[in-house]
Amino acid sequence: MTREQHIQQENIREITRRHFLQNLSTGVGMVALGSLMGSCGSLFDKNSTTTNSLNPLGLKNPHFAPRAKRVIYLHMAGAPSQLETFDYKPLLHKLDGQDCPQSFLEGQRFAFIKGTPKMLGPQATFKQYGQSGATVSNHLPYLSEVADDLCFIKSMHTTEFNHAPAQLFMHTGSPRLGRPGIGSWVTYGLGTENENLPGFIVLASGGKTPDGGKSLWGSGFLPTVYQGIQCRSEGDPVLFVSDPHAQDRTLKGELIDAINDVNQVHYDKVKDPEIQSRIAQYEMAYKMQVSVPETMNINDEPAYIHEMYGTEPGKSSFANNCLLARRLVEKGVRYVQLFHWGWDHHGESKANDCEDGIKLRCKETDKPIAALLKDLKQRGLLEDTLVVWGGEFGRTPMKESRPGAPPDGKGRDHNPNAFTVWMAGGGVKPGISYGETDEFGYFGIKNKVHVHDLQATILHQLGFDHEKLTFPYQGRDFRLTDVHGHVVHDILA
Amino acid sequence: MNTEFLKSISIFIGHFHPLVVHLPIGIIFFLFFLEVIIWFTMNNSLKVVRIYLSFFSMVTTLFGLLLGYLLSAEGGYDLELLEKHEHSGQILAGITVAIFLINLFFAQKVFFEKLFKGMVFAAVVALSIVGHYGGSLTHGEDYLALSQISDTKNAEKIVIKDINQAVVFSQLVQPIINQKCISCHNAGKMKGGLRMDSFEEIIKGGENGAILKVGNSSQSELMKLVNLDPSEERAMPPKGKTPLTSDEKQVLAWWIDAGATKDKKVSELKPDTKILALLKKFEDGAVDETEKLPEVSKIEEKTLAEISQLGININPLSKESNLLDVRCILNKSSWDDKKTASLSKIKDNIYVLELSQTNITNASLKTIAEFKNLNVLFLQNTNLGDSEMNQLQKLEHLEVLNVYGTIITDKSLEVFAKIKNLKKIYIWQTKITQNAVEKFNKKFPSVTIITGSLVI
Ligand code: HEC
Repeated sequence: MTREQHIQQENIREITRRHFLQNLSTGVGMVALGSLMGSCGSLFDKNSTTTNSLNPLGLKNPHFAPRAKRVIYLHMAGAPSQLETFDYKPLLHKLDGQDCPQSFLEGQRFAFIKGTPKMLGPQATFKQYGQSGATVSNHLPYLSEVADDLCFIKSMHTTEFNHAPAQLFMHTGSPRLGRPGIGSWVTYGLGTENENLPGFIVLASGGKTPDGGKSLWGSGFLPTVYQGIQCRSEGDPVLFVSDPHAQDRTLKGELIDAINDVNQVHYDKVKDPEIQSRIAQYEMAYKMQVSVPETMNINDEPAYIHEMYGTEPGKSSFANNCLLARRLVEKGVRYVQLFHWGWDHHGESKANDCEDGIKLRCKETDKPIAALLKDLKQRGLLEDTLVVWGGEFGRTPMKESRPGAPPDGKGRDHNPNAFTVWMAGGGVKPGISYGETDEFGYFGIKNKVHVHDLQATILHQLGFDHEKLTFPYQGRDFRLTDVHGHVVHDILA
Repeated sequence: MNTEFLKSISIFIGHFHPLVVHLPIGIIFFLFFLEVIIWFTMNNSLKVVRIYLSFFSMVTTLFGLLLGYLLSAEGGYDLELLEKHEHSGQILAGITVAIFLINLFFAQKVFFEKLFKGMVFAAVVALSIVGHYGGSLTHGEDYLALSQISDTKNAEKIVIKDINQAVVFSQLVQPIINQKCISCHNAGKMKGGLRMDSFEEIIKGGENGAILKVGNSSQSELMKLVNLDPSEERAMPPKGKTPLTSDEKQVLAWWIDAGATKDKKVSELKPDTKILALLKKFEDGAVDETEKLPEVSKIEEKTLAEISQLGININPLSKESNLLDVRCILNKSSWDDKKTASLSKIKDNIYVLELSQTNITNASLKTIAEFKNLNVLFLQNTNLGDSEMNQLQKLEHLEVLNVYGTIITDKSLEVFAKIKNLKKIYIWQTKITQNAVEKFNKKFPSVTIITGSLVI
């Protein structure tokens, strides 16, 4: 029996037996039902990903031949403006400073806009780059050099208009807490290639963790071994895994073996799958004591690489995280999640508007991202690593007008109806732009792509039918895309 | 407020009918089981809840009935069935009212016990009848018929041996419609007044008239609706259902353009080569040429386990295939030519091979050249030079070759030119000269050479 089936059967058996016996006095019939339901475990055959061992992180097979083996997801937390980066709308120059038409406001909900806002023209200049003629703003000079490797989706839309729920939606498929992130689904489905490193690693920069918090990389109802491990590029890479002073490593190894033996005995008795997780985690933590510091130490990179990324060893920066992302995927980590906070350009100050604020954030990220793409490409990693860039929603073509905001502030409010995401590598068509927004960049009008569609597409590239990668919980099969999502086949090579 | 608006509001409220009706179902059955338990246990204290349950079963039944009236205003149902559902529903409502009233007024009477039990039983019977008609309305009349179940199975199994001999409507068009449309457009459930379960019905059209303009697919209502973006209100099938694939849409369009015939075969309609290629995909056993993976036999678990012991990850490419994805990830430096040689046991199954940073020498190439189904080969950051590189020419399926960080020279590049299906070569940090790359690019434009941004 495979591990998943095993867990599921045990789960069902335990839950049904205990709960029915305790809660109902009718007894015998329910026990029969309980064991009946337990034997339905065979139903999961068609869904469960097969694995030949009980190790939860062991390698598993996807549903069909994958185009990507790994993912690097660059999340620009706070939601970058599509209108200052990739979605150029010349008409907005003309409308700049005019009252926004009432039709724009009807039926819309905004995070901050009150009354009738003014329109705001593009705060960047645009040119077309590469053979593909991709439109990129002057804030991103390095990225424009690799434009031919990118696949832009200009017609993204979401259902959430506040940061935390929208981020949760982007990563877990639900705006509420409690669902596993994509990285957890992926490690659950594929296991990890490098048994010395976690399958799902998170790196955050920008001075603040994203609003969605650690739930963005939580494992939800999946066993906790699949949760994302946050690493730091400054100080101890992973908190609380290094040994206390002067502790002997062999002794530590024996200690962990003993604990695991005891846990195994307990598992045999009560069959709680979380005990298996715990055993796997002890082993992983022990291995990570050596493997993580080694991988996270970027000092051994040659000078030209540091130059290319703009990295400074020992500091906490987005550039360092980009370089780490490459090192991690090179070692076989499945899912590397980068967050960079600070793209919430409401315009309440110069430093946080769509003119200077966004320029600054672009500057921090442009060179490292372009370097990451070039570096992945020259090493052949882009062949089977999918890179995704984007925020949690877009921004309005209207200027933000909230009570007390400076009248000349150049900010934009949250816009769930249109934003741009790009992908690269991993079997996605390079050098194309998919989907269109209206002439204001306010709504998608052609080939709209919903968050669940993006998620379905990412899973598809990893070899999964998003409708079949499921986990039974509270009586039904859950999946990343809930009951939605269509793979965007048009952007696949 | 206009009446249109009122109507749509009332229909909206009516949409809660399928939800609300489950309340009386639960309550009435509970009432029934309660009577059974009282019968067996003679536990009279349970009798006090009768009055409450009777009350709730009455209220929820009446509420369900009301919502049912609102919902039926939407139309699109088989009238005969609808009438049966309605009448039996009214009878059930009557019974629940009666149960409540006798509970209220006659609970102390001698005849009460028997009457009450009898009425509850009648309610369960009536409920089953209402439920059956309701189910037939939503799921179709033969949803529960065994014949239907085997029918649909057979229907899915339409086998097309030779596409030219296939009857366009019955073997290509109707199966698509059965799969994606029929659940809402059948005899029991005629959404938009449209049935699509036979040729004649499709030609007849829906409440707004014909849905086909024979000979002109782009002017046909049917094609207009299926071509809408799935998020549009009027798109068919509606949001949330699986949309038609572009292949399916093209088949429907071609059928309409070619006259929307009933009995004509593919060859009689003279498809051009493009359409024929498309139709070929519907032939039995046809697979998309681009996605076709070589078929190989399965390797025994024991053999795989033995080889992985050497320190290499072996994983099937997918559940559908016996091909293998083989990667050396840990302890790379202990992987040598001898270990490569032991991969020969699985040589036909290796599809992806990753031996970067290992200790292999050019002697390994001879072994690797025997892996005839190899598609992707990672050999970067090894000590490989030019010798024996020509062995790789044998690899007819090789598409991606990564040899960056090796000491190969222009000589190897010449050799690579002879690998039949090669699409990409990674040569960053090798001794290959810019000059040779340029020459190669001119001669073989179909192969991409990735030199890397920094040539050192
Ligand atoms: C989930 C149920 C559902 C499915 C599945 C479905 N339809 Fe419909 N269809 C409807 C409804 C409801 C209407 C009425 C819409 C209206 O009146 O606005 C309708 C109306 C139509 C009409 C217009 C009829 C008229 O005369 O106004 C056409 C044509 C149509 N559908 C074609 C299709 C096709 C083709 C498919 C399969 C690809 C399909 N439908 C699948 C529910 C469905």
